[in-house]
Amino acid sequence: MTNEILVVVAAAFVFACGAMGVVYRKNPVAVLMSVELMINAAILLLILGSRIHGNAEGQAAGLLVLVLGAAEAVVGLALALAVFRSRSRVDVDEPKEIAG
Amino acid sequence: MNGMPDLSALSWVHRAEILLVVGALVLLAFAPRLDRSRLAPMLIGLVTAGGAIACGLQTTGAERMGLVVGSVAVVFGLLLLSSAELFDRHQTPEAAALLLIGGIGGVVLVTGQSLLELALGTEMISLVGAALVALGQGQRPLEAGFKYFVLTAVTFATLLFGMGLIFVATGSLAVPALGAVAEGVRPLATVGVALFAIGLAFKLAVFPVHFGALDAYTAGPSSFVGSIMVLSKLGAAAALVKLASGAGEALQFPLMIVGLVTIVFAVLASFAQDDLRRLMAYSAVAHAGFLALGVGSGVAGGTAVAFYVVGYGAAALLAFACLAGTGTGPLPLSSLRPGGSLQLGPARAAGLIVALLSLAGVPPLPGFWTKLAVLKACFGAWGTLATTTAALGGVLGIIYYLRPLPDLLAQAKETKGQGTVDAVVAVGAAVAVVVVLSFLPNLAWDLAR
Amino acid sequence: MTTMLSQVLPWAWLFPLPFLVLSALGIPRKAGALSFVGPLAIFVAALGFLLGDRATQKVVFDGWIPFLPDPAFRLTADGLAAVMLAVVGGVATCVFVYAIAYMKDDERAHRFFAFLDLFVATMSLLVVAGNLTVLLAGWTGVGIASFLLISFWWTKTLPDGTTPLQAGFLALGANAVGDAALLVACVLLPRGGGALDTLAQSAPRAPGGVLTVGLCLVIAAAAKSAQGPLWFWLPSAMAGPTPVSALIHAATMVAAGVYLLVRTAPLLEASPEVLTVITVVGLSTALLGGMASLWQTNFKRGIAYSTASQLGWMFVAVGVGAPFAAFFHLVTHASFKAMMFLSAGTVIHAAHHEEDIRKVGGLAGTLKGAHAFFLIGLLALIGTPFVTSGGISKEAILAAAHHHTSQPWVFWALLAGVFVTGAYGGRLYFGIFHGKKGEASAHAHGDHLAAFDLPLLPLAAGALGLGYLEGGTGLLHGLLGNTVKPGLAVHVVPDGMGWLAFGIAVAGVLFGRFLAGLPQKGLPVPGGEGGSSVVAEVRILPEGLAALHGGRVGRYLFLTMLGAAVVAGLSLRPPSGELPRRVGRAPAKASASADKADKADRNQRGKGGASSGERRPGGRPGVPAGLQDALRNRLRQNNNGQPRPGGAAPAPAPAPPPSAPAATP
Repeated sequence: MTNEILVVVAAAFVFACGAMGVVYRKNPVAVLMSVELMINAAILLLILGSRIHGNAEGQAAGLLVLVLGAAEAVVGLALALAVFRSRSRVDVDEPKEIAG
Repeated sequence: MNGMPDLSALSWVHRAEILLVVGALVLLAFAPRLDRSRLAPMLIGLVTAGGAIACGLQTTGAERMGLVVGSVAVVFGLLLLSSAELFDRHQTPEAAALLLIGGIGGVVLVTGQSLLELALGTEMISLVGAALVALGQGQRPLEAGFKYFVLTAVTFATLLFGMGLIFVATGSLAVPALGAVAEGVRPLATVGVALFAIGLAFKLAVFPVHFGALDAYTAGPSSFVGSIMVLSKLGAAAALVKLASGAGEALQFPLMIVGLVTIVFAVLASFAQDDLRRLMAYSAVAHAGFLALGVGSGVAGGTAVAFYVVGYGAAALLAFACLAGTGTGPLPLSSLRPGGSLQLGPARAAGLIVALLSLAGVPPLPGFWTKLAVLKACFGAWGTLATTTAALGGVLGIIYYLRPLPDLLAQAKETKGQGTVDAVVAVGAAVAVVVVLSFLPNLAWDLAR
Repeated sequence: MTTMLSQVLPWAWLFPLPFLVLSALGIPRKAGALSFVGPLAIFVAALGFLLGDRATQKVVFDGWIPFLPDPAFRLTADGLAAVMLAVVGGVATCVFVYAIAYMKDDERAHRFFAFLDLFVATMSLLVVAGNLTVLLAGWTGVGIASFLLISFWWTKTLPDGTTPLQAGFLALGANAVGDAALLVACVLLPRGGGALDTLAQSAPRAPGGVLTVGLCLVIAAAAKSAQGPLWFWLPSAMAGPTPVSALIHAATMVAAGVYLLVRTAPLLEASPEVLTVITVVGLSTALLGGMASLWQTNFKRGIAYSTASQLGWMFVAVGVGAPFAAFFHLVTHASFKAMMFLSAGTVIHAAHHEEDIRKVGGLAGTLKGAHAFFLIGLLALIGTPFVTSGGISKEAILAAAHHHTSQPWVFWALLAGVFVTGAYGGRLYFGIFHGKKGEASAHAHGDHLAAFDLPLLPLAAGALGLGYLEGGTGLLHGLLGNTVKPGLAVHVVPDGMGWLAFGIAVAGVLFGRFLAGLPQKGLPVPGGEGGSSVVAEVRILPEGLAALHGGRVGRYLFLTMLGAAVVAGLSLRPPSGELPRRVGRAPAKASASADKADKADRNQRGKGGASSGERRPGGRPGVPAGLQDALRNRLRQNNNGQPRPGGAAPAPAPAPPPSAPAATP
């Protein structure tokens, strides 16, 4: 089991890196990339599960998740473009008109 | 090899989903031709959603409830399409298509059985929500849509990671029964379930994953906000009920705590607001707290949650239908901040008052019955302290629900842009639903069971 | 005729609704002036019921709310409800007629009457409610109507810088506490409980028993009646127009708390602790409220504190086991306090909306009618025997407290209360109507006085004569039938104790006269001159929470991830036995079997001769730790409602099939 535990720990590490990136990076593209990192950690787990349990369900799910992540990135980039087109600074903390 | 798929083998749920997909595709495909017409996108959408309701009436139990409530939410969005404050007036077909896709997301969340289906439904509603909010006029909706998107992406990644953990532990993508998971990997599965629940809780908009929804409901076009809100809460609550029934106390306890914290937080924070739209957004958070509390209250809570969604949905749709067409900027209340600009006209103001009273849980409006049902379930599961906290938080909320009342009662007789016929139909229908549910809460209860 | 009237009595709350609609729409413009017909009809129906055979009328629609302990919609019109409805209808009719003159110059008068109609409708619903659910509907409804009326002039600013809207919110908040208490009572009653007439039977089966249910009812009543720690909203509620103060915040709504206690007295009396709580709360409010009244410079607020104090007297009466005396005083107090408020309203109107006792004075000559009515009210308030109703009803409470020998201090404290009552009453009376003319009352106009004075005549008759409803005649006992436990016989002629009390009251009045002559400073009482400034104070916390939403998405993301971590942590916490109950239905079964196992285990230990008397903190008594864990595991597994794989053996771990990982290249 040790190898599997290592992979789980690795996935958790990747996920944590993504989470840190999401929290601390200010560039919208970097934030989106960090999100992708988090999603990749999830895919890693799915593949690992597939390996442990010897079924293809996890691999299929991994592929689907990959597609979901891509779709999300498309929408995200479009939104980021629309938001930051009219702003001089590209910083996710910058738009803060809605508050309180 | 049979060329034609056998339609009769399809369940009614699948037929409804296919219908909604086809409707959305037609709208998108013919968007360039439809965008000059005011009625066509709405009518295509209405026919599709009506078909979905008809399919839903053929089913029973949770499927029936999910299909009917989800499709009704879509119908309200469609009716308010022409009064929506769009960034580009010609984007109505796209907006209608997005609403239909959001409807599918809600239905998938209610009827889905595997974690992958639930993830898919969550993502559909999330993207639709972000897009619909961002379609609004001006910078505020764009900002809100972007924030909603970033936060939803993060919670969705969390959800996926949770799914991965569960899969590693159990080897299956079915909703896990934690008790049946081996001792050694049970903590893994438990954390997985909790992380999966975080993704769903974002749709529910409970503290502390409420930020995205709070801003989206504040600045999004009111025409769509009601529908997005009801679809998200419907789907997330149903999915969480499934998750919690498998996870037992490991998920129910955190959900109860989160629910109570959310109720208290939303009630307190909303005291500082003087913008009607923001108040409504905080109200959505407070109600999410009650839903989480219901989900955390075991089997009895499941029915109570479904009942709550119906009662809350009716009032929320009414409230946002009344606000449709008021722009996307803040709506400061002149009784609280000098120079308030609320202009609704007496009819819509009256509708909004009914909605606010129901949201506040004033008997005999549906909001009261639903709150009682959740409190009853909570009392059965968690005892007096939790129930008292929830009751106190819920009831103190009446203070902020009544804050707009002086402004609303002072609405002048004539205002320009009273809204289109479809918007009037939407408000009228919502009022009718709220009034009927007030005196015959049985109807909603039967739908919820 | 009377049978017909009795049959409609459960529906009496519908009477004001047509006028509510008319007034709300403002068609015709003066529709509000007709509104008095609604309460008048209620009054007539109640009289018809009381003059007839007084058979209890019940309306039941079963299966209304399937999930509640009591799923029915219940209305009950019995003697108690009918007398209360007569009070509500009678006082409301007078106030409505008075308000026609009082609100003549207000362009939103039609709306004012719509709110008043809403109030009378919901108040009547509260009175005829047959179960907690319906009661709650009326209970919340009067709170909302009260809010709307307190903040009726929401654009104006009060002399202390607060606004009527803030006062309204304060009242709403205090009332919400009571609503929450009733909500909790609603859900914690056992199946089949919730009907008010069988509450005493069903409450003992609720978790926590009579004490919990009783305390819920007491909190609700205290919130409505401004008692104990929930007193603070009543004085600031005086920001509303004076007819509102007379009807809602003196005669009827604030008395709803006492009405609830009287209605549920059989339940409350099953728990001595609850009764003591009621007594202490009532007594403290009676004394402190009366003393607070001595410092008020705003004379309306002075009368408001007096109301809180008098309601405290009624609480004490319930607390010493004399709900009948409490209800009797409720009836008489409604007439004389409404009259005092309305005559104060006449003063306010004549003095150009001046409510400061320092700026009015010497009005006895200008406002002869108001002066006479206020004097009658004062005499009733201090308990003048023979001639006023208050004298007879207050003596009934004193007698009950005297008779209640287990807590003798109650009686002596009430005697002190008599002195305080006299003092604040005398101070208000001499301050307003005697002494030197203040700056505002110098120009007081005395026109249109008939319109102000006429509606007060019935109230004055009540204030003088209502005492004989019971005193010497025993009529009220007959009217109430068996709905309220009969109390001591009420005498008209005071005994030695009665004369002593009256003497103390007269001394109090003289002291009050002395106080009225002093320069009035106004002492800061808790809550400030405008108690509504509390609203401004409590904004700090909400603003802090709202500041969390500064708009920076980075912080949102951080908090979101933090939340995820906390929830994951919470889910991992070991399921504890300390929780009040298990979740869901399956666990209920599980805990039953667990109890069985527990019992079996104890038996075994008993046989083995081991004593398991001591309880270890946090654990099941007398169960070894290993078994506890086993039970927990079983509970967790049963929680999922799924059969445990492999019976008692732990579930087979989904260990990797030996071939699978290796086989994949």
